Amino acid sequence: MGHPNVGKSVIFNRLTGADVISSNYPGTTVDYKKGLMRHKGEDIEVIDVPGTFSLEPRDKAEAVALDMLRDNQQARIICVIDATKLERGLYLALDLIEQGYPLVLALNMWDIAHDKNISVDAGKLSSLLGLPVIPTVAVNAEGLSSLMDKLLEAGPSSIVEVGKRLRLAGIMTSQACEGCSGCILGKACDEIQMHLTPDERWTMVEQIAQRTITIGHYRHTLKDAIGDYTVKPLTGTPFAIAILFAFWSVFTTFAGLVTDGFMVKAFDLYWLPWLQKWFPGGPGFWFYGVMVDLGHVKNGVWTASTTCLESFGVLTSGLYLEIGVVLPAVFIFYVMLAMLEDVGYLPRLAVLMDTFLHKIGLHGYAVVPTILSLGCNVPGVEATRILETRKQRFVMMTILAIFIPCGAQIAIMHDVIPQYTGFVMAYLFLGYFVFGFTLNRIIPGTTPDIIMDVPVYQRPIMRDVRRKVAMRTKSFLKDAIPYVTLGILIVNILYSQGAIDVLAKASAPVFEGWFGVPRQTAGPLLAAFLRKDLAIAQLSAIPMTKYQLITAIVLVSIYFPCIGTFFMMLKEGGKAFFGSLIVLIFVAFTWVGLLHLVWVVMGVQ
Amino acid sequence: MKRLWQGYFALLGATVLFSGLLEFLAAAAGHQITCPAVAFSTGAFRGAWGGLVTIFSGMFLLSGLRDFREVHQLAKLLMGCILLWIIAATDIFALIAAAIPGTEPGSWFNSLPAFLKALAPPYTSAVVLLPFSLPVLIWVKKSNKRDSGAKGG
Repeated sequence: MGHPNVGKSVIFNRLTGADVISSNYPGTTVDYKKGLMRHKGEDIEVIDVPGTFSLEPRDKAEAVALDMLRDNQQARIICVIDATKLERGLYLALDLIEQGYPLVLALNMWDIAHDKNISVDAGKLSSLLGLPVIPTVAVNAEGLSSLMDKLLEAGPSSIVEVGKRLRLAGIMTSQACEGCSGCILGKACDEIQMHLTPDERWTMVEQIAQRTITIGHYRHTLKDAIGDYTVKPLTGTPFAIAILFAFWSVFTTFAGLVTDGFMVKAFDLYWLPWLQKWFPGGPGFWFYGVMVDLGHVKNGVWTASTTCLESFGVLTSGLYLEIGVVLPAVFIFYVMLAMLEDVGYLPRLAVLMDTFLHKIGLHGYAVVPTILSLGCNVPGVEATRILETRKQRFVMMTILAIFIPCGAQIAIMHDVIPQYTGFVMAYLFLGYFVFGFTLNRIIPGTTPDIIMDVPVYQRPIMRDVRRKVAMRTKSFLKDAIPYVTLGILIVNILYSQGAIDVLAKASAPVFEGWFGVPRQTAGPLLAAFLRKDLAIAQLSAIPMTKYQLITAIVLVSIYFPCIGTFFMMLKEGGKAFFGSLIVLIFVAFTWVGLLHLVWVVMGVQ
Repeated sequence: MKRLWQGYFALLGATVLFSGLLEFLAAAAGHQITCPAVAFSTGAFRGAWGGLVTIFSGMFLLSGLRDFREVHQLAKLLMGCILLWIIAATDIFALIAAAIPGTEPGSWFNSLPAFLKALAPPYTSAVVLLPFSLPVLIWVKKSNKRDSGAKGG
């Protein structure tokens, strides 16, 4: 246990050899993770929990940690404390001691404390608290071996015993009683044994800190100065604009290189012709059509497709979309995200965006779910747990699911409509703020102010970056390929049975009248429920004007979340999810209808 | 010596600012700038957005000039250079990425002569100015040395 962003997940990974995502910003872990640590021939279960400031939960993520604590009364606890902010960590440690848990303190980021000229007397702290205190540098695995040894030796802790040690150390002010800290807090023994108030706990923290911490002279370094400038609006905003520029530039260049430079050739010149030649059945056989190439009719003659994008078979378009187009884009997105996370830039972006996000009922940390959603909406929705109130979670979840396109969707957009991607993204982001602002006015509830903890800039550890990218990419492949395959299969079957035509005919007044797009858009909309990237690829095959294409892509983006996001919203939102759905339908009609209206007014439809 | 470096960074900052303005305004107006030594993009992304970042880079460089050995001023100077490096690095990456795949039908990779030809000038202004921004690292090194000396002492 410990505060957010003190290195709990890094310690967990090191102890268990597990792969839990850890980053240099608070709120990375929003659920608990279990793993096994093998020590001296024994398997010991280790649980990583979200960070918490005290034993009174402020948000859903903290509640997960505290539920886990309550459900495991016999657990031994590693209380991880940031050695540069010992007082804050000690408050939580005293809270845990009061509950009587067997405890070991890990004074993590010991190296940073040294760099900042902060010296903690771990031995004295250990003797005052009566529990093992181990200095650690989790990213380098320093001190973790001693931590494992001491964890097994940890016995029950007692706040009364702590008080007794404080008295013996000469900290107490009265000789009136034995065995408690009541005297330093001005209280009687029986009272102190019951429960410490927050003020009393802080007094105790102060007394301990005074005797264990020495803070030497510290001069502001260049790294600190840059850290400060990147959170100040005047200097931080240009820096943020440059970072976003770099992000988008590297994303499009890398995805373009791999997709246009190699994947298009591999799929269109080798894979598609090979399948067209060897797949059983051949043209005219329905299974061939579903799996390899639906083809198209030209002058009354069935003609084979020449590209994987237009063939629309499970093995051609399906694999091309996910492996050829989306995988390179998602990979480079996750590489850059991991770098930004580990450098420590995201919390600075959160500070910069705080004032702006308050206007839509959120606060700076809403940047985290938003940026995660640009990779995949599912972890983005899960990350809304770091927001404190129901109102904030509702607003965040709703506008994420509607307006934030995932990496796969952006990659396909950039592949099929590179010249309009910027416009579509801008229109979606505009909707994010317009409807966020509206929801903030309508939905009752509060938006608390928060104090953001900005970590120091750190050089990313390449091993951790590689691990994170590998985990996220693997997870993408595991989720995307089955859904895309299923999506193409279902849509192809529906097409072949004439169901899409019936649906298109029935919904024509809405599609053609209100949205101003061809009625055939009904087919991709069905596919969008499984995968939005697949739906956008389908749209590119429907003949329409560029304005209709932009409108149709916006419609596919916002009309409904994909299946993965749908279930995550249901899990995280509970009953509120149905409220989100109503908002979603209303927004899809108004925002897409409005875009159609703009084209009509401009006379370009 | 200090004045000499101050003059150097002032010249660099002014040049960066001017090239950024040129890029941004040309892209905003949709005007093509032809220059044999420097390539200017007219696209909304690289031209306008990239030009804006280059403008910020020049502004940071100029605002960090006064007493630039002081850590906060040096930080501004360094941030100006970092912004320039961001633009230059993305331009170089785009140049290399465009030169790798084969342009001949059926070829996966470019031949070495074709690859080298694709890397030939003209370059963007950020790439041209990149080497001139590197001396800031001398001052960063001096500052880091001072910090570690102060801690040791």
